[in-house]
Amino acid sequence: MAAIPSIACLGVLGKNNNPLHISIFPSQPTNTPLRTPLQFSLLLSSTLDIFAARSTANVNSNGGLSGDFGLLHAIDERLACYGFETNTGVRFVAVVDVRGRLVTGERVYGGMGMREGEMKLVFKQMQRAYVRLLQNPFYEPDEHSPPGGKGGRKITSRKFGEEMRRIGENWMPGTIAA
Amino acid sequence: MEGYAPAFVAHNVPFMVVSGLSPSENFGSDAGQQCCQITSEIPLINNGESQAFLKLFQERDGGQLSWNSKEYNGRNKFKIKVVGREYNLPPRMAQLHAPSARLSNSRDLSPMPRPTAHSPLSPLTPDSALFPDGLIDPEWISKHQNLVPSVFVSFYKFTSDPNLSTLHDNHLKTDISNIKSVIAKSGYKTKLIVALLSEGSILKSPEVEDRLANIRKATGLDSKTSLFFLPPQSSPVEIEAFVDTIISTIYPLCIEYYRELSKHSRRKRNRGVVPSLSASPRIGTTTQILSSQAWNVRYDFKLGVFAEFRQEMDAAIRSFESGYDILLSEVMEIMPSWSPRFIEARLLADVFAIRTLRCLLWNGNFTGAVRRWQSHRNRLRKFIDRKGKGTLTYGWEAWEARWAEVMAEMIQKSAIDFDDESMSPYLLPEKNIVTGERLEPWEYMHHPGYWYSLASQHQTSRRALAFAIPEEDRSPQTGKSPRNQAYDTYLCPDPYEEYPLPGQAGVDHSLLIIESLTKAIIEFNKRNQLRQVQELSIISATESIRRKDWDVALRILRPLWHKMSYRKEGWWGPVEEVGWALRNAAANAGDAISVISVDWELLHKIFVYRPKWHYDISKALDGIETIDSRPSVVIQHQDVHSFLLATYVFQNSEGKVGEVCLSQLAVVSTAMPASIPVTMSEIKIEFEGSMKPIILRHKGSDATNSGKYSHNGVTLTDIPSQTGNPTLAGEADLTFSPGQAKVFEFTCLLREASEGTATSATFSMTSKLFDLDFVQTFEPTAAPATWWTSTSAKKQLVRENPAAITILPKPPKMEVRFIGLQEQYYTNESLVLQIDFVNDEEIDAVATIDVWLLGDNVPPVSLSLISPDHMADSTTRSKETKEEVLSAFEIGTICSGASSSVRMSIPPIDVPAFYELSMKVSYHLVSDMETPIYKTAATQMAIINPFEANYDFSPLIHPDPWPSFFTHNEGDDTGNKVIHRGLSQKWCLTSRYFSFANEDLVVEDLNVDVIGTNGGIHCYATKTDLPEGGVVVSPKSLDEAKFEINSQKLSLDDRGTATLDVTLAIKWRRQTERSALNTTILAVPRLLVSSSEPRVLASVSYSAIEPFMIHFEVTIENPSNHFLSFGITMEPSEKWAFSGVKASTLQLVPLSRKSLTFRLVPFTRGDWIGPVRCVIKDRYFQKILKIAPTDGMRIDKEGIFVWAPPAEIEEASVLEDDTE
Repeated sequence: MAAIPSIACLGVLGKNNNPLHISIFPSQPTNTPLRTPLQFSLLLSSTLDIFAARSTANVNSNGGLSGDFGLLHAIDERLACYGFETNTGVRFVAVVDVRGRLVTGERVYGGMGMREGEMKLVFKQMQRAYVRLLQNPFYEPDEHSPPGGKGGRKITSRKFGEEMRRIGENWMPGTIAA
Repeated sequence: MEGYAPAFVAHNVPFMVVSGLSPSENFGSDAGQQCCQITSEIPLINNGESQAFLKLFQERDGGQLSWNSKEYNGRNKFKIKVVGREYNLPPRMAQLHAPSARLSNSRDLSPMPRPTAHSPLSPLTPDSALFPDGLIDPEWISKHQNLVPSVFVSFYKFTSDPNLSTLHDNHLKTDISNIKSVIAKSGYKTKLIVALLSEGSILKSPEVEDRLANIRKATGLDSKTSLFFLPPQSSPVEIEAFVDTIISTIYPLCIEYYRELSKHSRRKRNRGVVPSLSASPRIGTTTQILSSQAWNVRYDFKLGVFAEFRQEMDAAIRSFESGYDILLSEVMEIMPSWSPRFIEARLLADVFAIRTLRCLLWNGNFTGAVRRWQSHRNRLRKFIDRKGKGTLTYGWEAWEARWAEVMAEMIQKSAIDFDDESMSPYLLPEKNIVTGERLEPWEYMHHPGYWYSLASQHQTSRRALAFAIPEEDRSPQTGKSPRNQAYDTYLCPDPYEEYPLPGQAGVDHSLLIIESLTKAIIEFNKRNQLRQVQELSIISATESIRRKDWDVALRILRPLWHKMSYRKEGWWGPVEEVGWALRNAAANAGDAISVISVDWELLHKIFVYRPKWHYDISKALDGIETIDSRPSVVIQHQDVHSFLLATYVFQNSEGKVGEVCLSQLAVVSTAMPASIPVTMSEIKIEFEGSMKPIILRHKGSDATNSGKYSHNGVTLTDIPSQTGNPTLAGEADLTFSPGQAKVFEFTCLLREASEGTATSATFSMTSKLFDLDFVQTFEPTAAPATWWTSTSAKKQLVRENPAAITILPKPPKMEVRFIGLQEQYYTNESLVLQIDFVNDEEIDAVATIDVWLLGDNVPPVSLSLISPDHMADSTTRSKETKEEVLSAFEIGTICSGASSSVRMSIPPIDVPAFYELSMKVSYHLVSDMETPIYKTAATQMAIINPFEANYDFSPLIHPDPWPSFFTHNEGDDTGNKVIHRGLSQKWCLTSRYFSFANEDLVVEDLNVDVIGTNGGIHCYATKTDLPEGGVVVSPKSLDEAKFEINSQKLSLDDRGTATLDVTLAIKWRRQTERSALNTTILAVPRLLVSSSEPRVLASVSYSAIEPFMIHFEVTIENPSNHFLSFGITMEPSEKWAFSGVKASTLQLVPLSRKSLTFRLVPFTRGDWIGPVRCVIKDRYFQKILKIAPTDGMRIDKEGIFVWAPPAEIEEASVLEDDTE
């Protein structure tokens, strides 16, 4: 038995820093989420500080680093937040529980800790799902992040939610981005 | 890091004592103890220099610096203590109880039976706290850090007086030798450094060198490393350099000193012998003594600390790790877990880990440090689980919290620079971590805020475990019972204090959590992680609420609730959390305003429904006792997420004055479905611009009006108010049910042309206990606005700001006509203009006019009203102004379809000018006296001079005879009449005037007026008569008028030159009926009349008898008082034949004239003939006189030409020769 990382929460944050979607996943050994939904949303909101700081730093250093922000910060010894920003300003956050999954099988790729770029696959999948959502003619991006810069509605698409669930549940450390 | 002895955790730097500079009360070790005292009889140095030294040494004290190598470089290498002449060293050896207390070297561990003395801090000494089996005492570090210096610097004065020098030097030698011997006797290897400061007046002499050499020889000091000499009169810079030299020179010696100490410990460790007790254990104590492993732990610790003194962190890590390992794996395993020594050992394990962590941080091994931090925790957890009381206790969580705080404080103390360019809250792993290696995210070292927040989490877990203590364990009586031994109380209180029974004092867990959070918040705030700060503030406030510390909670929550990012960014969960927390705190603290504001927001259906809540805003203050006065609350809509959303829309974006416009106030309620409908007492809509505010009042609930949608037409009535702000008021049902959309439609009359924008709606509510105003400002949104119809159908309006309307002025139907406006106005003409105002409105209008005449030197304008019957032309009212503006001239009522006229007159203007005449008619219709309507009209008037003229002034022959010398004219001088006795002269003024007018003008009269003379002359002008009715002068034409001017000097003797000033007055009128006669006066250049010089005038006449004959007559005038003789020559010409004098001499007496006549017969006719070369020469002055032509002659460059008339006309023109 070894505890390996699993995804505890996936969040999609809109251009107005508003939550578009939050999926929460249970952690082992109790098979319940590590935190309450409120705590997870506070946690996701806190990552915006780091997104903002990094973007300023990127602008200042002229590095056109769009996309993978890597590790944003670790909240404590178990939870760590990873981030990704699309070029339309939508942010994906994956909260990883470092000991969220128990494995017994011999095919354990990972182990304790994370390797750099290991979350890329998750973000790629999330982006793919988000693009599919955008392709839906009934999805109006402006309703979800109105240009005025204030709030916005959440994503209600059931398909998108299921997609997020699938991504979160299937991710294992060591799965290499295709 | 409280809980650990400060000396255990503090960073170690070489210790230096500086003596002889200031009288200090710092004597080192406690004087009461038996110790080695350094004393001296030489007085302290007390002058400006010593103060400078003192300051320099204090500046270089490195005792309080941050723990990193950047701070401890250069000059800040020592912990420096400044003392007087006396200093006490702690005893190196404990006093033996044996009668023969002989000092012996502790190194001498020979297995001799006689008792051996050990350090007072050694577990071998019975008086020591460690006796017999303790590991290490923090006093030991303290001794090396604070009491035993590695170097003792003694400052002395070096005298300059040659007489005293020998005595003084001897004193010095004795003193230094004394100190040396004291130090040697103490057993410490402290280095003695002597610094000699020479006195100000010392002379350069070879003696100084000798004296220094002498002292050195006598005391055995090394001149390079232990004797320093400061030459006299050194500058501050030199003094500073001196101090820095001392420090940099002795630093290697100090390092050597600590290396020696290390070597000493290592030797003992390597020997592997358990030292024997200095005395046998006393009766009654255990015979437990330290094992050899424990001694090794002790030596390793010492080795590590000495390495830290030397700043050799790698060596320190090695020693500490070795000691730590032995301690945990061998020493503690055999210790009974209930013994105090076990607690001490556990503490020492923590200290080992802390010191290792610090060395790792010092070396920049940040990830290594985090790993070390984790490994100590994990190892200890396993150990406690196995050997101790388990880790599922509050004691373990308390230690976990402590351990996280230790890390946070250590990172802070090390002053690690997190704010690099990557703007990351954590540091990247050091280079020696293999890339691609799996790293736990926490192993990237995060800033202290995260560690403090981790500590607070453990505090929370600790509380949870503490609260699980069964009641029987919580009584102070059971405190020492064996049952209580089950609790781990390592660095934390007993169960009865941890979770006391009600009424007992104990640990305040919430306060501990708040303390940790406060520290974390400071760190996050520093790094601008404001949302993280908000998150922690919520937790902190919740803890304050738990402690019932309402004011503190309120102080956190109120600003948070107002400013939090969650509301703006749509994180409704946190908004709700903060809201309920604030309501709780505010209700208890009696902050009614916050309670009402939060209740208002929580009515929104986006928040989670709480079934037990009343959801009635009017009951917000029910049950709150602590409110003094009736609160009045103003909520701005941008501060809350309001369930009422009001929009204001004008149906059209434009309207005209006098028209009716439709507008709507739509109020949509998104309240919680189970909430009680909200009833407003009034809604006030404010406008920007000229529109009056609208007030809607509640008129009582209407049962039929409670559907999902209601459309209410509201009739507005005008309410003039005393304060001068008239409003429109209406009544409607202002109860808003959850989910209801209510539309109030208004009809209002547009009054004044302007921009009108609805700015805000204020919902006022008067409840039993409070007043509430909710202010919603209307802001343009990106989404199109909605126009609701009565059937709940919606129409989308796409406009920039649907709450704005542009009110255009009412198009005026008043016509302004200028009657009799001329194309061109002229100077000297009075301008009269009739202006007709025709009222084309359907209703009678009352009008006033404003007139502006703009331009330079504006003349006064006068207006007069012409009564409607034009025939009478009677002026009823008139007004005149000196100003440019003639305002508010009342015309009175103009009936519909009728007109009124005004005559405007402007007096004649003398100079050309350009004026702009503009006119504004303000009128209002009798049916609507409040709405002014404006009509403007403008025209331009150019005023020019109608004429300009040029002039020709030529002499004529005056027909009157000249006075004769031979006639005595007896004038009657008796009368008042002035007799003019001078010569009369006749002149011809030819004026050619040019018309600049652009129409025909009739010139009725032309006149030359003599307006002034100069030089005693009398003069008058004759006028040429114009035909009756005048002459019509066409535009751009030149007309000529001739005037004869007769002049006569008053006195015959006056020969001075005289001048005439005349003007030409042209009386003219326009070629229209009844036009007025105007006079334009043109100035004529000054005319010169001279009478003293002789002159020759030529005249011509045509003979009546001989048609071909032309009489050419030359008149020579001599007005002077001299005889003059003139030579006359007439040259023949091919163009005519002549008879008369060919060449002659003429003599003229004074005041006489003479004419010579030539008869010319021209050979051509109908042509000018000439030039007539008649030369008249003044014989005396040899000057040719110029002949001035008169009528009928022409002159040019060549000479005078005479007109030879054609044959036919010849007969008609009869002019008799007029000779004397």
